[in-house]
Amino acid sequence: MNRSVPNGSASEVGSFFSALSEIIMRIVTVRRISQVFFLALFLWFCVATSFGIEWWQLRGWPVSWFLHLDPLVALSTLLTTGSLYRDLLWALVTLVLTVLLGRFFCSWVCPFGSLHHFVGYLGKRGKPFSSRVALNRYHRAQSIKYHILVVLLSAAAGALIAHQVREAVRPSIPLVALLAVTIGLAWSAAGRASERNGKTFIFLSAFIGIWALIASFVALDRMIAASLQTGLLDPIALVYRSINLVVLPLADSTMQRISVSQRYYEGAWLIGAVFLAALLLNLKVPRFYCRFVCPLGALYGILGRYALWRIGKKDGDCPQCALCEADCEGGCEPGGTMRLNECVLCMNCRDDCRHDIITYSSRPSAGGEITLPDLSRRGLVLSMASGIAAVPLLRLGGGLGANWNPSMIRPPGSLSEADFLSRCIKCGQCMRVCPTNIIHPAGLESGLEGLWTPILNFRLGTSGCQLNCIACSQVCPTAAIRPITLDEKKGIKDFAASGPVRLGMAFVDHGRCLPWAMDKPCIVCQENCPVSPKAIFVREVFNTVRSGVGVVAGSDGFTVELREPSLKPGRFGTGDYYLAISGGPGGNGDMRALIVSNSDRSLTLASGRPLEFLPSPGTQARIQVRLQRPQVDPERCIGCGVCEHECPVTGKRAIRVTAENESRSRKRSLLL
Amino acid sequence: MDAKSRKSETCVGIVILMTLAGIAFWVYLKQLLYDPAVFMPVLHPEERAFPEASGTLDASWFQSYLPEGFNPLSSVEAFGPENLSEKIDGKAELYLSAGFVKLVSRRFVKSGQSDSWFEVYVYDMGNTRNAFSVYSSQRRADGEDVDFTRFAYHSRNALFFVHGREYVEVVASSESLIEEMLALGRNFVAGKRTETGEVNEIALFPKEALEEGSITLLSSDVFGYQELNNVFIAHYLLGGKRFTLFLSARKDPREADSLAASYRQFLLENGGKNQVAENRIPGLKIVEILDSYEFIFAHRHFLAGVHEADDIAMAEELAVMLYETLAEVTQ
Amino acid sequence: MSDSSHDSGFTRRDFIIRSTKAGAIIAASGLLSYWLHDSKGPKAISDSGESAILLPDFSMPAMGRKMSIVAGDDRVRTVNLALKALGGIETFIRGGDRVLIKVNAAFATPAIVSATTNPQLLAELIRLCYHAGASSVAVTDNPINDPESCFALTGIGEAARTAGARLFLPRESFFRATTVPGAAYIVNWPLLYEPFQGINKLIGVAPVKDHHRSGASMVMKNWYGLLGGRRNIFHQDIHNLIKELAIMVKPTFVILDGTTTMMTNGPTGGSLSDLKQTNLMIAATDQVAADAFGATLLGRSIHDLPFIAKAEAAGAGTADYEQIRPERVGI
Repeated sequence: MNRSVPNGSASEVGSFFSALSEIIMRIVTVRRISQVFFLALFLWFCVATSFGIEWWQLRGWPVSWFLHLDPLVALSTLLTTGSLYRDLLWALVTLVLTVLLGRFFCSWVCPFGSLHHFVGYLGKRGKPFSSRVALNRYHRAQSIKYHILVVLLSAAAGALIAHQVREAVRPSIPLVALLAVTIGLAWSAAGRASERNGKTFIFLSAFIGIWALIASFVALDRMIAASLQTGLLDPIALVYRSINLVVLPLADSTMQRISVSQRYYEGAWLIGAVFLAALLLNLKVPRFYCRFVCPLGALYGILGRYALWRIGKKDGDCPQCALCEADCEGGCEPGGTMRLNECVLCMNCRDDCRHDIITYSSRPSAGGEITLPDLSRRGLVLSMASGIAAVPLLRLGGGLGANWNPSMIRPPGSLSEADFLSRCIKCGQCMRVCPTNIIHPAGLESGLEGLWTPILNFRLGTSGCQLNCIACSQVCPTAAIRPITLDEKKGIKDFAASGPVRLGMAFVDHGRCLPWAMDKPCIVCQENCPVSPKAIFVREVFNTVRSGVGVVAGSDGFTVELREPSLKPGRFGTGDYYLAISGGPGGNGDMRALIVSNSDRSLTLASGRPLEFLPSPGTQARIQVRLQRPQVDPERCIGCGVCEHECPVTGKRAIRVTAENESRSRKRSLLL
Repeated sequence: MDAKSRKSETCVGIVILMTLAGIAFWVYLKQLLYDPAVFMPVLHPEERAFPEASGTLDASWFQSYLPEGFNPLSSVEAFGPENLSEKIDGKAELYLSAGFVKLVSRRFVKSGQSDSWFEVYVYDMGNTRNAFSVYSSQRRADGEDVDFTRFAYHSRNALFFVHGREYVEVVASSESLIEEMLALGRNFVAGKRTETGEVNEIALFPKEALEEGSITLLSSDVFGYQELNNVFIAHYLLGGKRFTLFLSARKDPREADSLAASYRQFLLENGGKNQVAENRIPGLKIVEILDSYEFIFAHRHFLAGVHEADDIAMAEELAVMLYETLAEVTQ
Repeated sequence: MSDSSHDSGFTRRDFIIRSTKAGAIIAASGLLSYWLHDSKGPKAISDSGESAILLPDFSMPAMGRKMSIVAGDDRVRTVNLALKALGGIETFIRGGDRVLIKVNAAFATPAIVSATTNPQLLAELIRLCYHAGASSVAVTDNPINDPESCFALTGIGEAARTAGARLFLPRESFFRATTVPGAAYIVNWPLLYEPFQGINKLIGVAPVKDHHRSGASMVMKNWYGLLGGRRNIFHQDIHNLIKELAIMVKPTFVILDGTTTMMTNGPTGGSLSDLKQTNLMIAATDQVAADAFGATLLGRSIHDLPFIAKAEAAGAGTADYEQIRPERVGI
């Protein structure tokens, strides 16, 4: 790339390009187009994650594509499950491009990054040049994100390491390979330190070795388990979650274009607060999240270590004007010693350089370059150890065992809890797509580990889990909710033997249920049960109402007069009340007749069904209410929650679904 | 920036923009391709899902028997004894008392003619006899016999037939679909192999003067008498008058005898008077009730007779014919 | 590039090395992705990594199906005679064998109520095993009540220790998931597996007891104590479960102690009035035959105990025990 004038043979082509460059001009323009394009595409996907086949609805839109492209999702689920689920293969595209080009994703694709970019631009507008340069200086704290990455990945890999060693007697090749990759990753992360000190690798190997040794003697894999927590800070999962659960519901609340009714998400404030904080921090330091927090950026930084092309200074007289650093997005100091792993390829430096010194080429920067993060050996080991140790600590509460929380009802098709937690990245796609808005981000119900994982809330939302809907299982990018078909959900055809997918079971709270606790007729839950035959059935009982005992003064068979005028007029004419009189002539026993109306002392009976015998004056008369008390058939109930949603006891419902009997866990079944 | 690097920058820019266009195009194509099975219409809480019986249904149900140019109009529905009334309301009792097992039904529409459709009901009645019972007891008076199977007829807009243990109704939205329905019936009978059970009693009715297609099996509560069940009746036209013969196979001669006696007793209790009978039929009893005559006799394990005959002499002729047929067959 | 490379010390060689490393990362991740790619997604219920184990077959087919019944109230004497009648313990236990004895220690009740395996019988059995040359003998059960108290209060723990057997009290880590082929219930279910590590002979020792749910608890029901998890759920279909247990466990031989039979209020009993001296000791290679004979002690026929016929149908043994011509001693 010298400054020689183009020769004659290329001049025609050159004129064509100069014509085009009139339009395109600068690479930063292309970058902005790309950012707007991907941000728009992302927002469109968020809108289109509405269940249905209209052009603006789910149909075939690859709504989780950005998650598929995310190599952190791919890598961390690979560590926890030993497999790469379906569309996560897309991450390979990002990975290959990153290895070749560097952190292009951050400045060209990442929708969260684009938001930061824009807010950061607002923040630094009008600031003096010198303070802008100062803001974009490299800060030591930028290495925090690598620690975050290591903690999250070790938490995901703990089980693998422990398990791997126990399996060492009969090793399977993919597992060995996975272990090799884990160690390799740790090694390359520690690479900088290892350049400085050759012992680091030995130290790390020894650490893993000791860990493995302990694992082979003590059954550590009982406690050391995989926990996927990358989704907490993974920018793609975070931005999906924030837009879908916070921004869209708020934006749509006035227009109600995207959904017919207001969408609610329990605990959305926390997600919104994190999102807002991440955005506002850009006003302090541009791309605050990207520089200090983002574990995906950290992963890209490591992966781009051998990038074939990189930003740097070429030989020549650099006047150290610092123009290149005024708009530097990554804080990578292109004007000085280039920090390759921090560079987000925003290309601003190249655009701003008036001396044409900054290039994107295969040569390392003339100013020297640092290709690896600023990590100390001690810090790295500490992060790894705390990541691995955090999982057993989180699980010490026994939430995955005997102390499991039955109020955590997972969406239909969810894997058993341990497997679920090793796949769920908390992206909120299932919560967004659910047509009845019953899937919500969990708070701390299942412990810190389950934060923002999907759970069902039948009070919020517009109904229960719909019989003919499998939307959540279709959008889940990692198969934490595995893809099920309608046949499987309903347990028909090929799935007749395994029965329908049960989310849990409804329990009637006898202390709150109107017919059970208060002698008030109500069969709303039974009427609304969508299962066929109905899982809720009723048992009929007749109960004498409070102060409903009187003495007969006289009767003509169609009306009965009582001695005391103690009745509230009209109260017993609803069709639910009966007059019961016992001890008829000839041992006729009890008789019961429907009351159609009443005054304060007389009861009118249904004319079609008068009394079988005339009660003599002085006979005791009881006013009884006919109750149909609901009962749940555990063999039929699928835990869809429609009954809970419809229950007229609107606070704490009188019929509630809990996760007992859910089909994803044999241990929680109530029946054989 | 020099010309060369500007040129390469432009070049890269164009490649990137083309990639973006490519991605946009890919996304466009992708949204077109989706599996409609994922998107069954979401039901509102007010609407109830169609009840489905356990498991054996699939989307192609009955489609292979359809004549050319028909497509499903609704999904397959299935009902068991517990929810049959959700489909056919009060008529469910008729089927239930006759041993109903399962109903599967579905609507089909002629392509391009949205008002030309029919609904197929296939009632699994457990056995041919039960199927015949619901078939015969509902037989429409204006029905025309159809030849493709033994018990089949059609009315102006509907087709009814028994095939094996199944009773099939095809009810069309218009009268123009008879040919297609008959084709469908033929396909069903030809295409669905089944064991055809016999209904023996039909052959025991004398052929002479028998009204075509009038033999009916009544399951329960026959002639208002609770104990009388499983009775075949047949109509006869004799001398311009209509007679009803009845015949019921009982467990054994004793039961036939006692039922004959108790039925007679039932009639007497309800205002009937004894009539003297000639003894052309052993054990024949005649009861006069409400200006008509009831002939009752038992032969071997059969209970038989004539129901509500206006003309005592002709009725006796028919009773004798029936007795002789029975005597012949049961020898 | 090459013309300016020497300026910064950057050489073509450096670039090639870097490209090679990048290429290696790409190739490795590509290969790994291809290798571990999962296009289908996970199964409904996974076994969380650990592969299910299968209990080995401990039976000795060469011994044939044999049974002996010895009368007497002294268990030490009768068990010796019973084993002698089977051909002597030496034919089953040989030098170097590692033996596991599955006792019934289900309840923390005293030995005298006979709800559990008799300690003297156990001690004698352990002695016999060592005498026959066994290199190790272990005793285990996963009781209903707290294991520590069960083994202590029944005297089984003491008997095992003094006789020199190793005691395996259940611990969570001792269980591994097992699936009985063709089973409906024991599917991916936790099995007390640790005591079986390295074992090559298995003996079941159980008393004869009434059982509220299954009718009787004898040899086959005793294998229930090898299951972990929430096994009480199986009481909903206990007979089929016992059948699956009989398929799962193929012992070398079994001892059914009918010296004292719990006639009523089983399986815990609690009162001596529940017991009856029946004074019989049964040894058998056929667990179904042993249980079928045991049923007679309870005054029950095999028709009262469906699990016996089910186990026979599953090929676990012979319900008609006379068929295998039991050796009777002192009767």
